[in-house]
Amino acid sequence: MELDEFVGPAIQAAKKEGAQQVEVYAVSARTCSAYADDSKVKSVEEKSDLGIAIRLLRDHRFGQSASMVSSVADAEACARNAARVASLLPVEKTFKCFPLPDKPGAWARCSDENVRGVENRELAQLIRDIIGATVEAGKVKVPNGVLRAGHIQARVVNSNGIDVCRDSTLVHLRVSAMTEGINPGEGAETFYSPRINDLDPAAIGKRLRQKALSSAKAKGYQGRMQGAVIIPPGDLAEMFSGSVSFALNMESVNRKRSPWAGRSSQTVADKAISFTDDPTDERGVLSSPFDDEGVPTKKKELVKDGVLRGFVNDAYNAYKSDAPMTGNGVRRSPMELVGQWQMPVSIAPLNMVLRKGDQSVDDIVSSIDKGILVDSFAAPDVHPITGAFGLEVRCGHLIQNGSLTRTVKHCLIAGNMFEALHKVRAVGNDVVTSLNYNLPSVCFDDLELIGSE
Amino acid sequence: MIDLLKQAVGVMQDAGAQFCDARYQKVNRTIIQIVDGGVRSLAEDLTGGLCLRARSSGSWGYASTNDLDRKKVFLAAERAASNSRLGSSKGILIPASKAQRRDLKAAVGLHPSKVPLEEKLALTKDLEKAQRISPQIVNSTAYYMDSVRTNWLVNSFGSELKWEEVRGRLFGQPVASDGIRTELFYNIVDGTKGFEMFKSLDLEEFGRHCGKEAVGMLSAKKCPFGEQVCITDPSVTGLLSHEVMGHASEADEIIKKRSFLSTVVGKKVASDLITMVDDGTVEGAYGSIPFDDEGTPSSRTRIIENGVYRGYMHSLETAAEMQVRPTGNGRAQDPFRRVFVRMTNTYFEAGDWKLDEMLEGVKFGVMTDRFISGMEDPVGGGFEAKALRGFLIENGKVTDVLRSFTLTGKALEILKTTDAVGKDIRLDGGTCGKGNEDFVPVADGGPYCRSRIILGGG
Repeated sequence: MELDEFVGPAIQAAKKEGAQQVEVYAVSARTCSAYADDSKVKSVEEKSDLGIAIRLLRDHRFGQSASMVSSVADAEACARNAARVASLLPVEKTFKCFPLPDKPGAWARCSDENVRGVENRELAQLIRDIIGATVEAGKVKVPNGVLRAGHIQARVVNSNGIDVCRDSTLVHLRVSAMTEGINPGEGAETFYSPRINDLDPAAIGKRLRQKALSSAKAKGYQGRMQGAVIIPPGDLAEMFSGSVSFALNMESVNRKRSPWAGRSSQTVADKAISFTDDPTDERGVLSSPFDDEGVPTKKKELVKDGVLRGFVNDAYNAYKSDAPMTGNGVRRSPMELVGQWQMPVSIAPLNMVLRKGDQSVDDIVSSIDKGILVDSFAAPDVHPITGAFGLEVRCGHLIQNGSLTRTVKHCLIAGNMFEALHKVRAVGNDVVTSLNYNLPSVCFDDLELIGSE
Repeated sequence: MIDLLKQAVGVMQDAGAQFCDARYQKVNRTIIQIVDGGVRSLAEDLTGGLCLRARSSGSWGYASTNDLDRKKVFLAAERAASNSRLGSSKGILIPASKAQRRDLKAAVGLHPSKVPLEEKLALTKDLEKAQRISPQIVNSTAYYMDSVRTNWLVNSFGSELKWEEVRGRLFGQPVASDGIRTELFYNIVDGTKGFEMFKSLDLEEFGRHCGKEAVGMLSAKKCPFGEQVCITDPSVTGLLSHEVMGHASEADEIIKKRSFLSTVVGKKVASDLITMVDDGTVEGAYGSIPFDDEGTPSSRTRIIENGVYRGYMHSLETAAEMQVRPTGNGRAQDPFRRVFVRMTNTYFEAGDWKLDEMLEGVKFGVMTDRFISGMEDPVGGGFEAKALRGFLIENGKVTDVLRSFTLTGKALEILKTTDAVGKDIRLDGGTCGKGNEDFVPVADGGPYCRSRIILGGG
């Protein structure tokens, strides 16, 4: 089946049920994955799915439903279900109208023909190449990893005249390496891009091996200190997703959960910090000219030189806060394409760019008297409301008088992200794409390092 | 459906698969979210699909689709078989097992499909409303979910299975603010039961308690840092069982020596007070399953017994490799995800201490209350858990509420310091991702346990 075969019948079915306004989000996705396991290619999979999510307004009541689709009847049943849901709800006071058509946003090249036509055989070979570039017989192996390449076609149609299609691709890699023998060390690498030719197996393998060997040297940290902490881009993207993205999310503001609510034009971070959501950036895996409600996207300065400039929203929260729509209603994941129709609309930056600095990580290290360069955390999450964090260091390098000294693990770095953003010592120039972020390493001053006694 | 799956298995066998299976899954799900008195979301969804899996040598090929057109299904079966030949992993044959034919309905009191949506909506609204006990509650959320998952599975050993899994979850989460600080609290009821588990609740009390505790969190203090005597509550005890000891006891990690427990069977790894199991048969627990996604009946696996390490959890493949019986731990998130070794309900068994007795012995320490998150470390055996809040213990008494903090350390060192294990256990449901994806429903838990743990953050 093709998308066009069931979108029209779904809208007709909704109207037949008495819907005055209808929105259909229809998706066709195909993904191939190759899995590494114990330095071999263990599994190769391909998957394809068709799905639909319908939202409608019937007598000012809002209903929604989502369904996998293997026939037109499935799409029609989904529409009827959305109408039935609407009949159970009170009159909707906030969401009175699906978005209206507008000029398309800036064009973003988010589809790669090499990914669209990728064969399982090629993916299996690429992950074999990464394994080959990582493994050192008897010393380093690849315990697990996945390389995934997918192509998605999404169509958003609403009864107010929006009818837009998005054709995008995603390449995602997550792979780890570990040393063999007693007390092994482990390191991981990730990769996110719309393009497959950006993937460099040799470079990834080299970094992986270095991380594993470095981690194997780590010893438990004892004692406590306060100092500078350099956090690498991948872990930082996860920390910012749980704190900065949350604070900039208009739903968090409307629900009085955002610590930045009511602070527009105020200083929320050091001058070195500027965040821009840039869906025109070809590096972004969620970059696109419109969001998943069909609203045009645009480049937005959210924090400039430490000053809060704006928030991101979807249609519901734009209405709720009486603000213009920013085109950030998404149903997508930066890791997987299949099953996106199941996701409800939520607010997210499409491609959050942290302005890079001009120092390399080596330069930053040399400027620090006392601190730690983190290789990896166990789980880099931050309490979204309070900003507090206590993160277990899986591998880090202590810094003393501008030089790396010992490698440590089993200790906590503790602090508060919303406070740490005011104590930025340096922003690096080593930009990478991780999740829906493009960002470099950042060094924060005055964080606590806590080990055993 | 069974006939279509049997034919797909035949296609994979004809294409050279040494072992293969075909599973179809259909999930009917209801989600309701009430925020600040309004309906933020109410949806009834239908998800699912077909997964065809073939094994050649030691490698797997998968093809998944939700298009049930017969020709496309057979083409997918051929693709699964050809994909299996792209792998390079060697392995031994999965030994044939006795064919099973079962058709199981979930044994629940009140099936969610029999409950009007209006009743589910009213219940969720009541829970949200009950949280608003003070002007300091600035945001209140109630979330309801039920799912009915129907599975069909046919494999090349001749098994033909159909079974149903019913899950439900009710969640309250108020946010309190005094204008300076903002804090949250939550409570959850969940399980593989029907709507009866919600009908029996005192929603007013459930919501009011959440609201009161959220307001109380506004005066919570910072946790003492460094290594402390720590009484972990059942939910944080559960993180230790699941994240560290559980993940490191999954046999796929053992086979590739990615576990710090790879060579410890029969050895003393914890205090005598510690016994730990993975048990997919616990009645009503969120991680319970009649069969895993390979059709193996779920079972109870003794992992640690009185401090001595006993054994691992297995899929068909790892059981074949290690020449033991599969334990019913071959699981997949959905038909679009691979099957590998996953936990079900993983927990420490009860000891004989009362909580009061455990507190009495603490001059200065901390007790946790509920988790936010945890992370696995099968390689290094490191423990990382984030507690929602805690209590300061001074001279055997609880004196203050503590805001969220993190616990860390080496799991085996923590377990060797455990000197008191409570007499009551509780299991909490959730979803487990292994390697940042592949989420399956699980539960973990145990009793209150007293150990020495590094604390920090908050």
